[in-house]
Amino acid sequence: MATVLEMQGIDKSFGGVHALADVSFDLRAGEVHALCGQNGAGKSTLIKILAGALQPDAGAIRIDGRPVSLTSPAAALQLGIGTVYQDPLVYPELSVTENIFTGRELRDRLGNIDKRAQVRRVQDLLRDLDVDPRLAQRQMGSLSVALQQLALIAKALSWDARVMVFDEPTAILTAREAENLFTIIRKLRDRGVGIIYISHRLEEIYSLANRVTVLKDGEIKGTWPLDAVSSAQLIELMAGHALFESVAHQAPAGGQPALSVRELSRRGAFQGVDFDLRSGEILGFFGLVGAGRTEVAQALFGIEPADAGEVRVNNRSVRMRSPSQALRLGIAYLPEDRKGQGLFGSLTLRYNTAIAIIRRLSLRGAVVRPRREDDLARRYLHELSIKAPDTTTKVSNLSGGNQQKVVLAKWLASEPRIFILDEPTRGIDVSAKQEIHNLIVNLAGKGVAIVLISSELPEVLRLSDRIIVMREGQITGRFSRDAAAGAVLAAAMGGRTLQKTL
Amino acid sequence: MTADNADPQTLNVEDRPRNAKRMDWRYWLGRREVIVLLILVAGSVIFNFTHHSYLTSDNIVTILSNVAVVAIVSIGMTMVIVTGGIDVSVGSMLALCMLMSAKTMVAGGDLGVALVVSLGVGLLVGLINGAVVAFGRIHPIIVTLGTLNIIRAVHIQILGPQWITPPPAAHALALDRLFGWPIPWWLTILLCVLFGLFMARRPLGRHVYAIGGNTEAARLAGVNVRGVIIFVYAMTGMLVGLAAVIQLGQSGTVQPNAGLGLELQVIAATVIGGASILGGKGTIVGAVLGALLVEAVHNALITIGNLGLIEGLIIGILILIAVGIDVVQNRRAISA
Amino acid sequence: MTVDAPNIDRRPPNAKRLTTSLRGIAAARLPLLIALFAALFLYFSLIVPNFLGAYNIYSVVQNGVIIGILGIGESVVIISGGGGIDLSVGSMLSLSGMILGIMNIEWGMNIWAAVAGGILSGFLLGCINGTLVSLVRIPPLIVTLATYYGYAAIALQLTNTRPLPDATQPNLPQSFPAEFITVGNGNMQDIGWLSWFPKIGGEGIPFQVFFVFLPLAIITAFVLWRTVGGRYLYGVGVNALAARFSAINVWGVRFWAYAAAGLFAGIAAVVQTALSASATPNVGEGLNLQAITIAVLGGVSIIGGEGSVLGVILSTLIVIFLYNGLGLQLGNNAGVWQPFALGVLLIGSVLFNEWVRRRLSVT
Repeated sequence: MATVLEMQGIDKSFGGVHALADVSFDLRAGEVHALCGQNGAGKSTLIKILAGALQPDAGAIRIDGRPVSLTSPAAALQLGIGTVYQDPLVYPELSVTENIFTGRELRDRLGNIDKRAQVRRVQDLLRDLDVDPRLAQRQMGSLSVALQQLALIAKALSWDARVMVFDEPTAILTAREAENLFTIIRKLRDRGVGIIYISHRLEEIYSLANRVTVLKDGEIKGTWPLDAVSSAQLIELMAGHALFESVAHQAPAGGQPALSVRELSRRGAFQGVDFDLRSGEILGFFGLVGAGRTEVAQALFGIEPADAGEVRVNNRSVRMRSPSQALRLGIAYLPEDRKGQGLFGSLTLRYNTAIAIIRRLSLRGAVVRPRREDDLARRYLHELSIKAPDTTTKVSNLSGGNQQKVVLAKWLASEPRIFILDEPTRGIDVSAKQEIHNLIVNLAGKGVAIVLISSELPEVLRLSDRIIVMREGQITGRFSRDAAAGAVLAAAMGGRTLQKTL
Repeated sequence: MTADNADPQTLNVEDRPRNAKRMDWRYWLGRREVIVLLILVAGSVIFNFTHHSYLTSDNIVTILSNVAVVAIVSIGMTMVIVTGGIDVSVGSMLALCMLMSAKTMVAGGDLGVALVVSLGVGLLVGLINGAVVAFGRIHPIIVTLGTLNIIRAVHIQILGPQWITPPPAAHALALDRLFGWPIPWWLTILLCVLFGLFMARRPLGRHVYAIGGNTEAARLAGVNVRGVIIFVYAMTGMLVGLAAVIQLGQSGTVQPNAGLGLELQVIAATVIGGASILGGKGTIVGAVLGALLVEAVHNALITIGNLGLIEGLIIGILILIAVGIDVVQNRRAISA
Repeated sequence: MTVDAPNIDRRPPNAKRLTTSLRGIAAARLPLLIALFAALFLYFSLIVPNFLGAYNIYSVVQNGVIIGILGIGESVVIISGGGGIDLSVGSMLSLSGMILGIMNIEWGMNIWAAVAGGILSGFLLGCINGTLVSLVRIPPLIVTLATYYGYAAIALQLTNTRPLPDATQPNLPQSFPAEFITVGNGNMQDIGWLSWFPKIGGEGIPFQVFFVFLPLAIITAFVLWRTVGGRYLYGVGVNALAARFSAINVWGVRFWAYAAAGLFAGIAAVVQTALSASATPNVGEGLNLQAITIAVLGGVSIIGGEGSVLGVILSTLIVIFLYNGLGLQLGNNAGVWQPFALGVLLIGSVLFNEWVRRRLSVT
């Protein structure tokens, strides 16, 4: 088989951090090439470069042996590289056909849009994929995500794509929809399209792909035909050895649980979640993106209440309805989306640290006492060594790590007894990460019960007393602190082959 | 491969009621244009039982001729609102265009010249609005709020203390009939068809929707976002220019407060016709029907007599119902 | 979104002491407004002899109070974010004024009870807006467009468009009580022991400035700067999602913002009625857009979360001085150029701010 795409010595760094280091990769026509790696391994950087959304710092990309430069998303499409993202970018009010042709409409002699020709073209593409051609005229916003995905595949094909990149396409699909997508991917493969397939689900990779490439920490660990590598080996390659040494932390034994959750469920998000959490304990929640961990956390914090199950806080049964109720019960939640859910960017550091407990800092719960507000901010500025010139600094001017510390300070100020941390170190530099790890351990030492949600396995392994693994809304594994990385990863990824080997 | 193998997609496509190709009554009843039309027809017929003068041809002609100004401007407003913008300066613009065309007539210009002047003034103001919105990156409501004040001032300054009553050059356009219907109404239909086709068929028209639906995606797809934005405001200006000549023919004079409050009537018509203030959604036909409904209500209340004053209340309730239905239908899980 | 320099160190050290946390937000806008005010002042002082002593500043200030109050209410709504805007403040003013008039003139209630009724009805009208926005979640522009129509229509219908007192109904009282009219037309010089108060334009400070506008502005400023509600308002405007995740009741806060705008419109209605000694059903027409203009000129960001009462007061002052100065300079022609200047100021100042912001974010 001929090689359609070659990437050689690709380098990309963000602010001194190497996201990709000397990455070389090739794709043949008519193969499905799986790309594996943990979160932060560099997969998304790689595909963003292929989609023309990012420019590499160094390295060469060749299509059919010809060097090309992918300077924009449009350039990538024109060169025949189509990308299907997890979260499709669409015009919800327009039809599928219009979504496909916006910006390069087919015209008739008068210069009007030749709707029939457009529809016919899309219908042909859909028929080729054995998809009902009537999809062409449906309104994009009325479609399920699976059908939107199909429309975007058709869009890529309308550019005569020779290379198709699928970025975790099944993360949001049902099993049946996923099966259907695989049929289409195989069909594309048989027509000679080269396919890069990114997924965390090993069974998918084994059923679809011809070769697999493993990325770890921005470097290529190797490329193998799938029959030459077992899933256990793959997991070993992705997980590597724990880089961090375990921190000195020992949860106190016995005692009443601070938080006790029984059969908690929310339709479409998670089912039958059960766990106990004692004061001073760190409970790690591991899983892939979309496994339902954040949804559980938000149910416990009253953002999107659960529909069934029981929550007991300090042995009292409670129905969580709102964040303010959770706050009163001594629960704090550090959200995963720092900018969107955590920070008031254009407001001051002082405002951001005090806002959750501003009532407690006020005269009769109404009139703010600025001195107290400022003292609070100053205290955390010092305690968390937040690098900011002043408590009146706007938080949007701070670095990611310092911003995260501000959000942490906001919740520490509420003196929580139960603290749920959702991806506390995502996207922040190594030293800030270390500081936040120490902070978490210190908090546990002071008797705070901690739920640590993270997609970074080393972090979970390093900090947690116990680990719960979730997959597709359910708990699929429970581990003690000395668990093997491979076993935890396996529970998160699932897969039949794997269950046998374990 | 047989159809069986592709069944999941087939099923999903089919088991939805919305299929534009078939005459599916549920699909059509869900369209805002159809709902407004049905309310309009049914309401008129029912109202006619108690007030027999309502559905006489004379009264229908009155409604059709009075609706033209709001309807024509609402065609432009729809395009603006579909991009996610808004233009509150149309009332002032109408006044200025009326004034300039009246001045032209006073100076001896005929209808054609007056029209060209009026369209030109509208175009110029619209271009300014569009350019400031597109390049200044200021919210359209602020830009047009500013030009609303500025244009009104220019209008009053040029007008001076006297009202202008130009020679009746525009009367033919505004008051004559053709095949029994008033010319302004024919013009409205013509523009409705033209712009309806434009929005449905021309790439530029579809780009208006694309920008309102997802500006970033449109930019990435190579749509000239600034160009389209300038275009819709400029078009609105020209439509106001045309409406101004009709208004001038109908009212005969230009007063300092000409067109005052027009923007709100036009926005009401557009929104009742199904345009979403958040952009990406709305049709020309819907806006014209919305204007017709508003005018029909106005006329009915005058027919009743002493209720004319609560017209605003009824329009307000209509707006709330129209948008309320939309909101309840599309209520998103987390809207904060 | 503010125009603060990204590098906070640039601020002079003593400025830090002056600013409280929220004033910092508006910091970049205020110097611009002050400069603008100073420039206007200087210009008119040079061009127009006896600028301040001239007779018409008095009436301009009297009228400015009404638009200033509406502007403050409008600002609270816009700061609450989520596309927040209130097009109905003028209609609420008209309707509250009519209710005041009906209670006193037609029903013969005590004037101060009628005043309370007028204010209360403004508040309730605002609550209707707030409910539609925060409970039904209809976009604010649409809600207040609808109530703009609705409230104005009811105001007209109540008396069949006739103002109160109504000369065509001789059996009704032909005027409001004198003490009520004094509130809108008297000034501090009328109270003997207060005659040491400064004068403007040769007259004392109008009652409505001293007893209505200033207290209202101070209270609102205090609420926005120093109270929990104010903190919540800005938080909701800056980032509603983060506010929700910080245990703030986002839609509750927005509801109160609209209720407050209604309350302010009710108070403005009292001032308006007292000033003109009559309740006129269409008196609020056109005030909506003026109120928004004043708010935005004063530095309230249309996307929410930013703005201060001080800015709105300054912009009200700018508008008052501009109107007065143009009035003196241009005489009869002033009515024309006043809105013109307002429009230019509005677009110009926002453009300038945007330009500064972009330049600073590049460096």
